[in-house]
Amino acid sequence: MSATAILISQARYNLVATVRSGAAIALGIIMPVVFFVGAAALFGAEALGGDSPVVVRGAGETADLRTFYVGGFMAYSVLYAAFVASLPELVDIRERGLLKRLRGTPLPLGAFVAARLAIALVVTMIGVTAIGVTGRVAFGVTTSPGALLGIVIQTIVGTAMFTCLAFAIASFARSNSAAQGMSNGVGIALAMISGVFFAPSVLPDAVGDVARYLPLEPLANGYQSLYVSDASGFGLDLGNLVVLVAWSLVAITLVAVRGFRWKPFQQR
Amino acid sequence: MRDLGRSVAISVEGLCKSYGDRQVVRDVSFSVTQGECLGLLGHNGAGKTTTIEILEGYLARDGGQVSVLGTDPATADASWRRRIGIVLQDMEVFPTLTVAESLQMFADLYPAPRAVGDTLELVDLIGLASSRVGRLSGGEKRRLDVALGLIGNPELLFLDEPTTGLDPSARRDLWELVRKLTGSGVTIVLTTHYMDEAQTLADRLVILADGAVAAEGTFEELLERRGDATTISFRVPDAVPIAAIGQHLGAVLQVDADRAEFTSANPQDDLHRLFLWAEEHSVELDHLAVQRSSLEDLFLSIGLDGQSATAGATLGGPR
Repeated sequence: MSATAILISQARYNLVATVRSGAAIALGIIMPVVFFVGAAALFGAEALGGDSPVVVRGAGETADLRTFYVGGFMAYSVLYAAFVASLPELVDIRERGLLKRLRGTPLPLGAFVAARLAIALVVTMIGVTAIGVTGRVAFGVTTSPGALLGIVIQTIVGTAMFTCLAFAIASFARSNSAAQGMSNGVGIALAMISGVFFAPSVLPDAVGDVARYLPLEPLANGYQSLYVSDASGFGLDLGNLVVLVAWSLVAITLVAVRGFRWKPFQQR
Repeated sequence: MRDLGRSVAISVEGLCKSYGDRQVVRDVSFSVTQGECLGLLGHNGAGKTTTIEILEGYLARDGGQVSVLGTDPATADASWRRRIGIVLQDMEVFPTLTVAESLQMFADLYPAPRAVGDTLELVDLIGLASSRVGRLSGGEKRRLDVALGLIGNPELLFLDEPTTGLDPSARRDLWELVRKLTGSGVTIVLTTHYMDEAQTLADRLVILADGAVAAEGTFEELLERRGDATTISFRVPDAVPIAAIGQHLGAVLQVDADRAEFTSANPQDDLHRLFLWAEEHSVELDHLAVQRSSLEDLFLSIGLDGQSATAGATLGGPR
């Protein structure tokens, strides 16, 4: 088998296992769409906290909170598919001894990582598309055709970053339930302060100042910018991408320094 | 000897491994010939798993020389891993994949794998090919583990407790499979807690105690070296002082409830003397049994002595 064939096979069976277990679909696609529809329908054009219009950092403002929610929940979908659902799955694969067993086969570690990234991308692409289509069909939120490529690029960069973070943090989680606690805690905290549920303007300035250097806010802001300003070209904010890439590098460095754990913690 | 003309599949020289201050493998040496089944035995904590994981390339050693299929496992690459098969003690594949999908996922990693259907037939799982792994019983999962170890068509197979959780007939089937594999030239390293299994399958045994080799050889050699290979037992006759019998036989009788037994290096003579004594005293010897030592007895005797480095001497030395 060539390395490419091994990668495709791994991606295929990892994806089948992920889809059948259902967590990534529920957390990364269904929940973001439900939350998005709920938030957009409940608050509609009314800006939360009476603070209308909503200011999107670096891009301008929108009088319509639904536009703001589209970008926010796209980022939420990426976070939940590629990190919150993926981290416990990764720990589960390790704790059941499968990762150790695969280590004793000719499977290169790189092919396994690439396969995990590929299946996360499948889920996030569907999640982001579902949010975009729902926003357009249900609430009439649109963006320029040129921004679509920007959305795709952001989704790839964001998914890669959260996948790297999942691999980095997996070494710290000693069990599946510990991993679930960690990923959900991080997920909810990030979503609260990063312009997903609440506009940054209803939060203290200091929170927003910190959040823009954490992994989720630059992603949410990036999507929101593509919907608020008339994007030219890919409409990407370079500053946001730099933060996303920087977090990926932090995660990769952590794995390199600490070493990737493939042996179960719960071993006799 | 069956190994004449065969090459050495595994050679271990002075292997050492410590976890912190605790030395778990001490100066272990043995070798395995191609096509041979080596039984690696020992109590829990004797160093079996550590030794086998060093051979499998999972663990780095602290000292000694190890060669597995001509390669040092510590520096081995994918081309070496294509040649070995591993059945770990605790491993579960994705519970949501089917049996056939799991095997195909592993088959895809090897250049010349066995066919999935053939492999399922080898372990008698063909009827469960489309069942989800999560719904299999413990024994069925164990057979799937064995199938996953075989799917890459390995030259060398590590079997760590392969029959745990199998019912007696499935165990026999797996034994048959192991014999077939060694017959076709596959080298097998087997660890097991079932002594009958080791006695049946292993061409040669290495018994570890406290991290060191306590005994090594074929089952026959080990029994011979131990020298007290037969146990004679009978029901204690009424109203006869048991010490008198022992004195007459010149043996130490162990009495458990109403049963007396002693080990004999020369059962024919000892039985003769026992019968003479019984006739003289008009004693009926009820429930008389003569039993050759099993590997289990041998193993247990090492367990008793094996706490120190003298285990080997005790086992091998004259009595």
